[in-house]
Amino acid sequence: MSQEEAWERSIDMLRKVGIPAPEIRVGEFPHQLSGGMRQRVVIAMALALKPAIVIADEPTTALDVTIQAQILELMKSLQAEMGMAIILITHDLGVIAETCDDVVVMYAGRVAERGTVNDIFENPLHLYTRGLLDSIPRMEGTPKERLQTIPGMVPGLADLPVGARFAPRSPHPGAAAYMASKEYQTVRPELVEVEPGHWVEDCEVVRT
Amino acid sequence: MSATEKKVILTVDDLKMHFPVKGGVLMRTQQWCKALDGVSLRLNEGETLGIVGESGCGKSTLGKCIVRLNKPTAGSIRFEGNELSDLSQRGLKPYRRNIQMIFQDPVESLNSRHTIGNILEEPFIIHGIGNHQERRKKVAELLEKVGLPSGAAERFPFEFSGGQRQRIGIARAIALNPRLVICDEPVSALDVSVQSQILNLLVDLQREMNLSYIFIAHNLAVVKHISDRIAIMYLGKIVEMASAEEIFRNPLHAYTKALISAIPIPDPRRRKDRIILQGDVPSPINPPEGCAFAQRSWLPCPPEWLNRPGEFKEVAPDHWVELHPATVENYQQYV
Repeated sequence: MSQEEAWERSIDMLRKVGIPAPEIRVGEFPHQLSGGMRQRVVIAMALALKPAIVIADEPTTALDVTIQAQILELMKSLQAEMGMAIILITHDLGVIAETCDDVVVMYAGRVAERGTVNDIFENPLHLYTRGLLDSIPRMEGTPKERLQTIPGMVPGLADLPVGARFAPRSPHPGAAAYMASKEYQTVRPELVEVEPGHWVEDCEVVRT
Repeated sequence: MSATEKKVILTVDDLKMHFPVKGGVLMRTQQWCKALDGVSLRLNEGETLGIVGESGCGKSTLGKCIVRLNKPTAGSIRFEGNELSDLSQRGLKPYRRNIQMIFQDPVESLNSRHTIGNILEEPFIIHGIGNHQERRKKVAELLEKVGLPSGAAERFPFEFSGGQRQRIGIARAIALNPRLVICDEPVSALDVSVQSQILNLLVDLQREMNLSYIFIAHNLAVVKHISDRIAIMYLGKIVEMASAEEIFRNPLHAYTKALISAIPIPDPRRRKDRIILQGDVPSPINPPEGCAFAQRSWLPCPPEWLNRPGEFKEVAPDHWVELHPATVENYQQYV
């Protein structure tokens, strides 16, 4: 592709991601664009070569809700048009519920639970997933009521056990005994398929 | 107590903060960035006022003006009846201990070369409170109050997680028993599982110490959880203000409606039709004439209103909104 063609294609991509006056914007510098527009430009760059998979790492975390809604809507419509798969990395459970088909919940470097978005939100099997869902303030909740919390904090990644990594924060009555056991030091729990397509870490003390 | 009996702790009246934008060869002021362009609000004792808006709408500038990190260009800030807006640094000192701030980034806001003990002792030293031993005792009490181990005093900020560092920031803010705390996005940088711990702590401290909060955030679910009243900001102005319940039950301003509809709901069965606003927030440098929201609104703006600003008006008891045909549906009924 010649440089002129590449320039034309850039303008096309900017138009596709909804940047007004792309012929003018294409000649501008990043600092001249707003946060939402910069994210659109990055999406245009990611999609320019028609990839099969796009990994979006917290794509809307730095944006405000109205702009976030624009960007998520844009990604969904581009996906419908171009057919790429998207891996969306985020800690916003609302964004996941509204945009994803399947969900992988990770904890301390491992998959805790995996399933369809309905599985995860309606029938969480891992205590960490349950803890996350319970700790977010809900629009329909009572103001200033005590929010559920997950005790403790995420462990440092340098010194992790072989066994279930959520065990030290688990409210399960057997957690202490499990952590004192040889199993905790030596056996890594595998994922088991509890219902079709819904997998969870196979360790009693971290399961609901 | 009803709203009318409550004691007003803070009144802000027509506050303006215009920053010069310098440019050209001689770096002369060429334009003004109108970060705050006429903000009025009041805060009752023991109450939380949530402030919501897109980035760049001026909400952090408002917080910084109230603690007087910024000197406002015009307008009035009255704290328990005393005018703060034109006081000198020296004149402000008696008020500093009563008005404190919690920052968004717990990493950036702590001096990495000082131990937690030194960081928390500093406010007492600045205000000449106690001797070394008494101050150390107060530091230990503070750590306990915010749920940190007493051994934390000897350690450095980098040894703590984000949530713990925010606890340190909170301990520093409440050290001198303030009356008012400005919380500027205090949980935005935290993980979901830690966010709820910090929100619980803020609510507990408010009840225990009768604190008044101004809680600045862009996460509406969080703001709704913690606030008694909510102000929605857009481009340097408050466009709607009411009790938290009223804002969500009966939003009047088009921007408030769009914000509420844009909240992602953590329930996959409730994917909904939302109002997607077109375009971005206009720049506060040379903001549009008239109503700043008109160009993004889906409500039609009659030609005679094109350059006319809306009027901020109380349309129901304690429910204020910017009245303009492009912002409020059937605005005539409120005029």
